[in-house]
Amino acid sequence: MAKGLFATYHPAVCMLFFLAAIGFSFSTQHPVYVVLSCVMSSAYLVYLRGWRPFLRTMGTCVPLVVFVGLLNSLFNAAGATILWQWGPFCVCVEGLCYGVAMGGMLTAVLLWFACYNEVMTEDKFTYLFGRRLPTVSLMVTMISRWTPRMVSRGRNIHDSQEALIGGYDQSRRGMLHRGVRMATVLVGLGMEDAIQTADSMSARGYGSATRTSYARFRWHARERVVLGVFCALIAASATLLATDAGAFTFYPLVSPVEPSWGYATYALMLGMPFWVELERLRIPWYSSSHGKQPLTRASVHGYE
Amino acid sequence: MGRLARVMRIIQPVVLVALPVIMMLWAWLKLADAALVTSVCACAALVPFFVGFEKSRRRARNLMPIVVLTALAVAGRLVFAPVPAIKPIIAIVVMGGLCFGREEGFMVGALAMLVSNVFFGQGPWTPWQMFSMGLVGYLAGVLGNRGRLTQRWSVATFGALMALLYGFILDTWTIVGFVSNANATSVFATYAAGLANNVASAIGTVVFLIPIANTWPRIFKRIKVRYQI
Amino acid sequence: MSEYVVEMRGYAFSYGSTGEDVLHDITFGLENGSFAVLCGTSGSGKSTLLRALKPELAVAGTSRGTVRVLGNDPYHLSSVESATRIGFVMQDPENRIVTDTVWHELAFGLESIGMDTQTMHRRVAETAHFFGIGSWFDRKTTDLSGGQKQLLNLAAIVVMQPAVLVLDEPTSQLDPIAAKGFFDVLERVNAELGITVLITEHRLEDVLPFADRVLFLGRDGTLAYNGNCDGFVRMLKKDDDGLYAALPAATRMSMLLERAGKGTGDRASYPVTVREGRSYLTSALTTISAQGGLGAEPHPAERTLPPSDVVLRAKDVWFRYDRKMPFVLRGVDFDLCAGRVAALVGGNGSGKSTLLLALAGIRRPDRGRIIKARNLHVALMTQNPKALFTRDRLVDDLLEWSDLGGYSLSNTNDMLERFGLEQLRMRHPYDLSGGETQKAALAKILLLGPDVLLLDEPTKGLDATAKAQVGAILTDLTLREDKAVLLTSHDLEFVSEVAHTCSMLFGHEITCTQDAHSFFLDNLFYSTPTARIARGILDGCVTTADLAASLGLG
Ligand SMILES: Nc1ncnc2c1ncn2[C@@H]1O[C@H](COP(=O)(O)OP(=O)(O)OP(=O)(O)O)[C@@H](O)[C@H]1O
Ligand SMILES: Nc1ncnc2c1ncn2[C@@H]1O[C@H](COP(=O)(O)OP(=O)(O)OP(=O)(O)O)[C@@H](O)[C@H]1O
Ligand SMILES: [Mg+2]
Ligand SMILES: [Mg+2]
Repeated sequence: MAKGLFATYHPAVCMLFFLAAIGFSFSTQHPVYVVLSCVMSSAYLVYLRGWRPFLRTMGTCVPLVVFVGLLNSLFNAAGATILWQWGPFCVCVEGLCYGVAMGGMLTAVLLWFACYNEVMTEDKFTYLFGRRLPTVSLMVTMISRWTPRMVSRGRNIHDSQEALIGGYDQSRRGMLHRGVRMATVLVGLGMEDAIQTADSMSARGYGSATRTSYARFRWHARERVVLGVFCALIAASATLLATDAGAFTFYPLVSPVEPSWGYATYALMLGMPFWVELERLRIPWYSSSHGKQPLTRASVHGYE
Repeated sequence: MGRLARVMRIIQPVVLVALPVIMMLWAWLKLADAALVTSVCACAALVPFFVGFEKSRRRARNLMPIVVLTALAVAGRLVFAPVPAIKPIIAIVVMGGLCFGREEGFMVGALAMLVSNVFFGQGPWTPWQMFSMGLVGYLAGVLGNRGRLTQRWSVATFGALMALLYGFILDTWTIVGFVSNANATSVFATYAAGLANNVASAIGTVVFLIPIANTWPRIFKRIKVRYQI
Repeated sequence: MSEYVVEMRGYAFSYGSTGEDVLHDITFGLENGSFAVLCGTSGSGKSTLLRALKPELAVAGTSRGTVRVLGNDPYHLSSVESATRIGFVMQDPENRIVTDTVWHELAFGLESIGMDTQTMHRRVAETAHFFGIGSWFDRKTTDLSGGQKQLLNLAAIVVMQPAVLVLDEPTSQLDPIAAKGFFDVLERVNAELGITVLITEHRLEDVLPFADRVLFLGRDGTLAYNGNCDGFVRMLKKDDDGLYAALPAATRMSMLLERAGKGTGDRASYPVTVREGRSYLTSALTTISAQGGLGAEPHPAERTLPPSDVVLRAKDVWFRYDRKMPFVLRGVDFDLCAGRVAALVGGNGSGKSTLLLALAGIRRPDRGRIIKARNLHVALMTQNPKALFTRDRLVDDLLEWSDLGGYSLSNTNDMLERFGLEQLRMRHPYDLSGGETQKAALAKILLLGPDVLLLDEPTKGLDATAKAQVGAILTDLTLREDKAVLLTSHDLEFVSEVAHTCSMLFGHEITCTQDAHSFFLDNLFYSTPTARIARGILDGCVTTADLAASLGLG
């Protein structure tokens, strides 16, 4: 279970937040918005996972970010302030700025996805899609059960044939042959086992009626409040961001950055995982829906 | 099968063509917000496949081959994670499409990318990977239905082409989504950077496909007859 | 509506591919709330019969006659009705689990029939409580032990509140203690919820005490017996169809005494449980001494074995599957000698299979060593024998390694005959029944002619005759050909009859290694039922043969 109160919220709220965060981050290269998004996503990821994993995540993002940044700044002749030109290579100040902004934007998106991976665990994902796409979400569940089984099954098959004939033939060719044999047995046996699982599903009524869901997530009053506030923030950010981004261009010259209320609303919107923590202060009207219960999801089964 | 499923089945090939076209157009016309728009389009392109599959109301026994092959593909990607570029995933998706049909092929590809990214990290690439891998399975299914691709070498060649196609789509998406003012040089640079990877992946796919191209269809055929799939 | 919950009239079935009738003219009816045991030899068609009750599980084939469940033809029930009326628990718990968490598995059936969330929560909560699942409700299904998995399977069926519960060898992979636990829960389901139970089992020891009805399928696929337990035993006495050895130890003992004319005549029924067996034995001994003692001198069997060489030795072996996981084996020392059958027993998940893998050299110990005599060929049969087969026909499959093992078609045919599989030689290996698969795997290994045989649960799913056969083959291999055999098993009676030495794996190490006889004499819980019956009354008995010997009836 991910850290913080936000992760205990209804999956629909979490999903909406990530959709908004990723969507907005994707849609603008306005430097202030990019920086805000980077800062907020880094802060949340550090909060969720700590410094070391954060740095590791950053490390894995670096190659892609640098690649995209370079692509954008090295081959771009649209800027006015050309620094250096040689054959197809043309470096201009505006291009460099754009490359940096693009890299920043990509970083922010990747970091938001990393947060998403922490918070939106598979059960939340399948819960969200389980009503509209029951079959597919059931399949996702089954695949995640079958994947480790396949790995250990593969090991088992490997073991049982090595145990019998491994001693006879140690040549490269023999090993290759046994690898192929293993793959063959693995699918054959996997299919055979899978049919048994399928039978067990139909024996328990699979496909006999419209599936319902053993929902483990309930809407609380506070979630409705939070959702309302968040939607208002989305609307405000969208309008303000559209204006600000429309007024800002990189080419031919980088326009100056104007102060705007949009920055504040945007930061507030992205800061949702933090400001929901205010609930811990137990503002009387705010936590009334909770009564005297401690502020964890202990009331929801299974998330003690 | 419901009407919705039939409608979706008709839309599917249209979508497969339309998405790359939209992507190219967007780049050509240099419209704004390419990254966001193309990602949204890719998500939208998955809808007819998933909804069509959902509404076709398959029996449990018909779902299982997809589950098994997908799990195998995910497991393969995990096991081969330390080896760069060489993954059995395309080979498995191709076999799935060939032996079980185009919708099944699409699902194997799309779900394999979706689930394996739980381990490798979801990202803006997820919908694109799902789409392109699904496309690979779909195309294999189309050829399989026609009774083509029965020879080991033709399957392997097809697999290699598919690996290149998959790489090509993802590289193109990088350009369209993340390179502003793309010109010949930056396009070339992107493809060049991906080339080694794609070629290695194609070779890997051939290596994986050759030994299984004859044996797996036999196994699947027996299962299909015996359990009336 | 008829008075029967389950009813078959003149039912016959043949598999599409072979054409011969597997089942003939089956006619029986089960009353509401009964607990029926279906028994028969391996391949007699038990699984086939049970599947006929559940259309969703049927394999392609043709059938005749009528089947009624709750007065309806199961093929005419809607799938919701079928799911909620007939519950089916099958052999391999691993494959029957659909989802990845325990709570989802419990809810799966209810979700499928479209139950509303409120009712579903109540049902799941109630059932979890009844089965004592509460404490592992949130676990991943992959992390469960074998016993827990099978319990979960049962719970996931009972949560649907079926009227009939059908079980196909539900405990064949469970250790004796877990199997007992499973049957206890099953008994509660039958007694407290009134659900009709129909179960097949090869080991009748644990299940017969609960049964009020026995159905016996003869080798030819007809219903040879249908009635209560007592009549079943009486019938077996007349016509010993290889099932005698499957009976509970107490029953066998009483039959033994009765045959020798020393039974206590004042009893209406045969003893089934250990407690009944003890009181039977006590009164029998009183009668015998009143009649003037035992007829012949007791002659306990000779048990000294000549010393022999160690061929495979584990020395202080430590092993874990992953750095992040706890050790499965901690400082295990083990010697395997030529010319002996050694047995390894222990609960589910105690590490038996792991030790075998280490001994076979498949997994390298993290610490310690495996020492093997030179040029020795060690072969291991792993727990899932299906993993051995690749070809489409059994005979081709057995020939797969003929050039490696240096054997020919005629050897293969001999081997098939030895195991009674010659009629199945053209069958696909995956189409064999549970017991037949096990025998085929053993045949494949024996063809390779290894010097050391490590067998992981070779007797699961085997009927009594086949078990005796396997036991004889193993004894033969060790005594005549001086090979070494190490087997693991949950069937303690088999172990007590076949093994020379026995070791127990507990708490990640081998707690004791003794000759099998004294091992079972010294154990109280982990022992054979005969030893438990005779303890304190007639000392030194572990098997029925011991009992016969010390009573002078041998
Ligand atoms: N799919 C199949 N096709 C053809 N024959 C089959 C098939 N499945 C089983 N048989 C045969 O039908 C007979 C009865 O099989 P079944 O599985 O019912 O036996 P069983 O009594 O359950 O045996 P066991 O105790 O070993 O599980 C066996 O001879 C078996 O070989
Ligand atoms: N491939 C594996 N990877 C990780 N852990 C494993 C693996 N195989 C077994 N284990 C764990 O090691 C322990 C010992 O397992 P093992 O299979 O040796 O038990 P066992 O005594 O053979 O049980 P059973 O009687 O059920 O066959 C168990 O806790 C099991 O969960
Ligand atoms: Mg059976
Ligand atoms: Mg084991």
